Amino acid sequence: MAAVTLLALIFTTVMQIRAGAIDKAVRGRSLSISARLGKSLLHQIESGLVIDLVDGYTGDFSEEGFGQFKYVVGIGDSSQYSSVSANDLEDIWRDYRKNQDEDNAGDEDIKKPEFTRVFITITYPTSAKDETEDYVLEALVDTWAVERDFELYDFLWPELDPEEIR
Amino acid sequence: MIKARNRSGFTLLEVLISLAIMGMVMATVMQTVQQTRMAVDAIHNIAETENVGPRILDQIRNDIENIVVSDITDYNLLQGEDQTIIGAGADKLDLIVNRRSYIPALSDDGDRLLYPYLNEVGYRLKQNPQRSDFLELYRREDALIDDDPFRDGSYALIYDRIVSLDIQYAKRPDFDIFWEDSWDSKVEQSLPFAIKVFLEIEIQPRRSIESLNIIQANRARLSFTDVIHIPEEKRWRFRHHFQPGRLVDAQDDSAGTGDAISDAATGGSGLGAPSGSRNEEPPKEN
Repeated sequence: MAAVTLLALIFTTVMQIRAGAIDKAVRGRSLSISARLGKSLLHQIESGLVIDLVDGYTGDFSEEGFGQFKYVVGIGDSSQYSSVSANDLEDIWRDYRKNQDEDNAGDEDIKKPEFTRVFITITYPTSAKDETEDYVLEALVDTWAVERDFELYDFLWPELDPEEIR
Repeated sequence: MIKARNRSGFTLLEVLISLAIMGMVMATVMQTVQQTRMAVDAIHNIAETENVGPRILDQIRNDIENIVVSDITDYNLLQGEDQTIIGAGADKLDLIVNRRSYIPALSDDGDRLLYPYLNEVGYRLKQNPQRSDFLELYRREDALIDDDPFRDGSYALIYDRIVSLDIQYAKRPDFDIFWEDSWDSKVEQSLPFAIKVFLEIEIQPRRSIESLNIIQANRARLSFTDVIHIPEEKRWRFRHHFQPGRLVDAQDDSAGTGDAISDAATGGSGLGAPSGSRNEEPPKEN
């Protein structure tokens, strides 16, 4: 009886170690993919290819083959948008933009900053069912790219005649 | 009187129970070993597909981001050609980069191996001789710059199971961006604003490819897309041939022209910035 109990204990421990190893492997892989997908999205933002970034939005990476990886992208830092569902997001952004407009109202001399902080929060699955974790990426990106303000781009980087310069 | 014999040993029931326990133990151990083996195969497959692709894209990105614009005598700096092999995209890309070479070059006296920081680099694909449905990706490297910067050099095999490689070029940022299939910096007299790389690879799967599926990760074929934005300062300097050597020459040659260039040089945040615009305030927000 004692031997059987000992065996049961050993098996339980081995199975726990195995489950822990799988969990760590899954988390490691998910984190690695999140970082790659996040960087890829950030590169698109840097190139002015991401539409409606000012209003912010959510989505997933199903086009890249990773439908379980979901993202929230927007302007500012990610803290104010943490722990919100996709349904709440629109209201939060609306409030954020409204507050910004109110703060800036009447200030005629306001200038656009050279860089704007953007964030990407990627939610990835873990080995536990229905359990997810977040990976947050923040970066300073050219304002013209974030706002897709191509007039500002032309102003900053004008096309001059090379022969004339020489 | 017959004395009862002192019998030692196990009863049949004891032997059967111990055999059953041993059987259960062996079955569990064998199952664990099998699952471990399958996990190793699955991890190989996952690591191959999900890491090889990004590594190749990182290599291309590092080359493009380190493109050289100073000390270039003309616009012959980047050339991308649209090509297909066996019906799959097999685009060609050549450029001059400011990165330490991977392949050493011999010094003039032939005694030393050098790793120059100015190199011609290119990417080429050719059909895989073993598996005709795959392409092999090679990275070309030629130390320093010669008369024909888009040819010759040494080729290093990067990966031999490429399904397709498509590279596209955008001239300038726009709401509805137009991607061109080829680019010649000599013809365009400028660098593209952004380069989009689409890569599809397939791994050599281990035997238990279908056996273990960790959150649908065990796939043989994956595609990767990345957008590489060439820094604006670099593009501007290249476009306008804005180089320190040229600036000095121009000032020596002609006072009038030199002043114009000097103004442009000092107006920015440093050498190479566009004429005065970097120091000016950006336009007011509407």
